[in-house]
Amino acid sequence: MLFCSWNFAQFFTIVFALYWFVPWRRLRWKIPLPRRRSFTLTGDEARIWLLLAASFYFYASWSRKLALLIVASTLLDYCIGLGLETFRRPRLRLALLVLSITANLGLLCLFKYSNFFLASLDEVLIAAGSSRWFNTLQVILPIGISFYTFEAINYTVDVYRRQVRAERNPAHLLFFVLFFPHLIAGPIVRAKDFLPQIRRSKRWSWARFQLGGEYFLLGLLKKWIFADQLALYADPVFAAPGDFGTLANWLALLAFTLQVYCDISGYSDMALGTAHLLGYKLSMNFNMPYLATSVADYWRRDHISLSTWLRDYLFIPLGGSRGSRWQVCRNFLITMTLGGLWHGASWNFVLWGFLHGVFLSVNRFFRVYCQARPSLESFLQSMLGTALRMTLTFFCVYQGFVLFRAQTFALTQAMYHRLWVPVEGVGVAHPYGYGLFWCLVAVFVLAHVAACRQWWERFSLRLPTPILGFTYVLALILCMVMAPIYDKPFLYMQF
Amino acid sequence: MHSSASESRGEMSKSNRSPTTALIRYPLSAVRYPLLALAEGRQRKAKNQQPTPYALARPRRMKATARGLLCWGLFWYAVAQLALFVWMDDSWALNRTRVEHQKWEQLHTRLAEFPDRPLVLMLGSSRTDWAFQAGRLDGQPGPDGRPLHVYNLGVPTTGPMHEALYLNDLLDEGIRPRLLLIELVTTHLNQSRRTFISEEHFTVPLWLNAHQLMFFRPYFSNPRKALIEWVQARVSPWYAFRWHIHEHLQGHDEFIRPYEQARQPMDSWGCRILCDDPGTPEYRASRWGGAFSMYGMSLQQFRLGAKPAQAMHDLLARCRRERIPVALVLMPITQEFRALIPAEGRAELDNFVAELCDRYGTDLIDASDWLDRADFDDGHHVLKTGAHKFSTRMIDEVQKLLVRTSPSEAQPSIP
Repeated sequence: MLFCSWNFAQFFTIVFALYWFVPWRRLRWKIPLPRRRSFTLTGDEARIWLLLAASFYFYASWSRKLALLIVASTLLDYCIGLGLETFRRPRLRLALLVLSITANLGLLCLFKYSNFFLASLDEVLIAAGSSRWFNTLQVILPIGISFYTFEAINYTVDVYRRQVRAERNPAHLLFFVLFFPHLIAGPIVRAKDFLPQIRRSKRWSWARFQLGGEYFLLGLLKKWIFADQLALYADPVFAAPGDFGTLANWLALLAFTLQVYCDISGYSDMALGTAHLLGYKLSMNFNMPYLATSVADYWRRDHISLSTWLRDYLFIPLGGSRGSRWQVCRNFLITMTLGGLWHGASWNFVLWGFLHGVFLSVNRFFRVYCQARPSLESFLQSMLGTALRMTLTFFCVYQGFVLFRAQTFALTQAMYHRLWVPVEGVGVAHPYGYGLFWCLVAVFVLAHVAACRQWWERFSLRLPTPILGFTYVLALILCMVMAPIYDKPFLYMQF
Repeated sequence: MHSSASESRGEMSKSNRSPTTALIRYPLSAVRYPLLALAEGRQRKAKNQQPTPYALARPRRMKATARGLLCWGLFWYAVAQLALFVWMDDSWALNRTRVEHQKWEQLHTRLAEFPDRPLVLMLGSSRTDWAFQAGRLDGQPGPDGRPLHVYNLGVPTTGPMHEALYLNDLLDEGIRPRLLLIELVTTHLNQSRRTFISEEHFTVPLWLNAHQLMFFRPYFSNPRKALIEWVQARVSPWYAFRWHIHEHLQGHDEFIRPYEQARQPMDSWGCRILCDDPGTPEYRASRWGGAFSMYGMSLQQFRLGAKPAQAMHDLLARCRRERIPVALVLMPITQEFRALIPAEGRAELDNFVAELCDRYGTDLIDASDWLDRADFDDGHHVLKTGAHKFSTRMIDEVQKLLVRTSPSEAQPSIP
């Protein structure tokens, strides 16, 4: 069920109506238990159960069996969490943590990476002269597994570190993992941010309603107008780069660079909006990454929930920025390579992650180099220097996306060849030609300028309510008209 | 250039910067942290600090105007939907819908002109629309001496579901045909399956009205899906009709070849006035190729659908109840086109036709081999020569049928 689909609109309308319009506060159910005991279900608790049921339905509409798998793995983490809080012996606690991480990563490896590793091993053996050894496993990739695995690990590690109290109520922990706005494609939620919100009583707020609506509309704009339209310029070229000219390849790469940002940030915005409409707040996931002035800055702005997770649970435990230059470099490479692998079971993603590890290492060396040279440092901080850094960062990220998007090494090679060896050829056949493409690029740039200058903040404050309402409806209508004929899934849903 | 408001905000954010409260710039960033800012404002008030007007202005405004904004949003949304319906004229509609409207209007005009004439009506698809020159029989005396009123109600992509609907609507309006000729559209008797051509495939819920949707409900393989699509088109037409909007903006409708038969005007009796020039050989080859690629896979895996068969049964049962004489017509097609249906499918079809004739006592006019290959435009639609040949023989058949049907069954077209 995609956020920008009719099915989701129906589903969410029902959930929203039940959540806010049923007088939950007046409800108190006393459920009798054996031995003359009873359990009282309050209205707030019933609301959580409602959202839990809705979230389960949301996932089960794709696969019932795999929805049960998430429930089972979360209940295991629940028990481990309680154990981590109860036991004091460090070895026992460590064993429990290892068990949790192994179980979560084991499931991830089984469903996501087993066939990739088997196929790779097979290729190596075949290259060595052996016959075919392994058959691929008949498994389907559970949607959103990479996201909820990281959330579950985050919970147990934080409980182990005693940064979070173990959750006593299994429904709360299930809700933390299963909450449908972030279940499929993030943002990766932290237990310490989300669990306290579950315990808080929710009250209707008109401001929050508007905020949620605005987030959702912003996400819809990014997804339908930018991501899905730009995909029409990128997809044909990435499928067969050799069939198109050099210019078409450069433009397709630019289209994909903008598409990938608009797609995932659009999803995040819709997730944030949906959560706000239900009274929850998710963390911000993007902050104009293409305005980053270095690759390190890029990772502070792009997919923030993933990059901070990698920082806190992989980079820092590996040693972080402490240690010798080469140790830091090693930490960057390991973190980013695994981060790349997280995106997808393919050597292209591994290489893409490794490339970003190299970028980060170079960035670190260069920063140290600049610190010893004040004149160079001051030039880089000037307006021209900042523009130069921004351009260079964008170019590095832009070139890296060839690895991210091309399906195979052969296509990657063909794409780089076409990019750097000029060949005349045809462009992409689109009903509106390249006019729409340049329009979208111009609006994208303008939106960034407007955001930097806070034009919308100032402008919207002065607009009378009817005009503001008209603006939002206009944006919505534009989204509707530009929506693709067939629903296009979000890029990060495959991860 | 920054305004004083943003400068003061900058000062505020510098002085109070913490990982959670730092304001992050972003497209439409004003919507990012208003709630947080509101909470900050409360804290500052509690500490007797001056709140920054700009940082708090938006959340305060949201609190005050969100309800009004929702009302205005709903109002503008409704206005926008109405505006779309005003913008959309007949040229936007599907060819089927357009032809249906034109013919319905024309039939009523003619009936109003000659209310006492007995009506001979032929229901069918585009094959009928192109082939049956009703005007050649119109005005000729019937067995009782009264001049006949003959009309071709062939509408592109029509099959048993639509034929049943048209008859139902005619009877509801009190129009009772003296003789009803019903084309048996073999392609549309196919079971509705994904990617296979069937009548349901051509029945786009967006363009149906509520009455049509309710009528078709029992014949849809997935009535819920059709209902949802229909509701969607009413609630968010800008979304549902986006394909048509793009087509309109790109001007696809404007380019018509001079020999494109389907776009030719129709005469006063509902028959398409086919042009003498059948087009260039390349164009004709593309027409044949297009028709075979369109129907080939569906007919090669032909399976008689339960729903279209039910529609056919309902249609004939209604005719029998209303005592309307009926004849089923198998329209001319080429050997190649007929051969697309495998032997099993053909046997199934033959059994079905025999069962219909047997159960409802209807006549069958099998015109499938009346014409030569050269008389066809694309293998199943006729050219002008074909239409003439077909109509000549059809007129004879109709006259025989009129004589054969008992006078007691004959009713005036408008009671």
